[in-house]
Amino acid sequence: MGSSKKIVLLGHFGVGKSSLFRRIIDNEFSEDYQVTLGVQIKQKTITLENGETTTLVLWDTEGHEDISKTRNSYLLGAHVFVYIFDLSRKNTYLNCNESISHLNKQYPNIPVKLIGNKLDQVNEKVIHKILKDLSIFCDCYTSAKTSKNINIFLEQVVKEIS
Amino acid sequence: MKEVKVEQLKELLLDRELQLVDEINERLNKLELILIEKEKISEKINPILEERLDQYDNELGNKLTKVLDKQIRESKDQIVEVLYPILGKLIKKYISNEILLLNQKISKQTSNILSFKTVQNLFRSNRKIAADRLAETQKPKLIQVFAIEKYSGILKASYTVKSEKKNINEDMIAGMLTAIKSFVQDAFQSDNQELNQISYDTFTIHIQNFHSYYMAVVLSGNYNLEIKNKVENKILTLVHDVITLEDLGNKNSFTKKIKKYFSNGII
Repeated sequence: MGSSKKIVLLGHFGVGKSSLFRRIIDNEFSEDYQVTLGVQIKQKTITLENGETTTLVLWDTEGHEDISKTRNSYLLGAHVFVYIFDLSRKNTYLNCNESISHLNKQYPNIPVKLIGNKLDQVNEKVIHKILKDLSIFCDCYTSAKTSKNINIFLEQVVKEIS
Repeated sequence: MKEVKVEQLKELLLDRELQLVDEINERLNKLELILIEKEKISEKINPILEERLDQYDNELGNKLTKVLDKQIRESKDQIVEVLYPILGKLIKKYISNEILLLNQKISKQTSNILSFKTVQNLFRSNRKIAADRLAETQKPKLIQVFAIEKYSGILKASYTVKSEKKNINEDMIAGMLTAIKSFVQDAFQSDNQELNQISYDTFTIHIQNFHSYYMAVVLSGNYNLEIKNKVENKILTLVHDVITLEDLGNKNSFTKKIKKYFSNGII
């Protein structure tokens, strides 16, 4: 019986948290946008490098422009925070450094992964330059639509909890 | 000579009538011919007509079906609108009937237990047995037990009674229960108070909070203050006497102990 780890997905509305969530859990993608109310929880069992299995309990929270408005109760007890922004919408990443600082201050022992999603909708070179100019350093660039880098993102999360 | 004259006389007198008879005969013959002809024609035409009628019947059926199909598709909303109350009535009628049946079943069971003869016998033999029999019908049934980490909602241990089917993943139940608990606390801004019971239909989730985790016990049947106290005491004994600090970090041993502890039921 492996251990379970709570992973919380955070970010603005419509950045693709639920799409990433669906891609990770069910390997599915839908163009239909449905607002998440409250939280939805699902799990995925993965095998770690040492051969042990662990259960990722993913909490897909409702979107908030201001991270401080996210319910504390959804954040408490997390093992990893995943802050997701939309690479094609500037307003979803302009305040991401402040959001990460807030999380680091409130929950100093919980690692935060910064993910830029919707990679399929932008020019990679251009977006890298924009983010670099804004001093935003992503841990991973993903596309829930095309599945690009989803496994790399999962490996990064697994590394944090190993 | 006389015969010839009679014959001439007959001709003279009955000439018109004879002509009439001939005409009638002729007409009868014609009619007979027509009838025979008609029979012959109908013999020939009938199978063709039948075949055509069948064909027409099929074509008409197909056309009608197509038209109706189109009409139904185009008027889906109106049809639903019309059918909805009818279906609603049917469902209501079905539910009413089911409730009636359930009522009858309960009445039968109660009357069996409380029949004058039974009660008399029971009271004669032992009043306590009668009380026990009544209590038996109301006894709550244990469905599931969860030990859940307080804030993360991570499942620490669980036990499901064998006869109860598992429909939903336990990790998800643990997470959602924690989210509901947290939501209630946030919504009512009650930091010092905790959700300790969720009721739905005949089921109750008894929630008992500890420092770093909480126990959630799913019960069906009667859940009153007396039962609540019994469940609380049972869980307190479990946590105090059975579960060690090591178990809190070991899902396997925690689960085994819960399973053993609750294998005889809740009370």
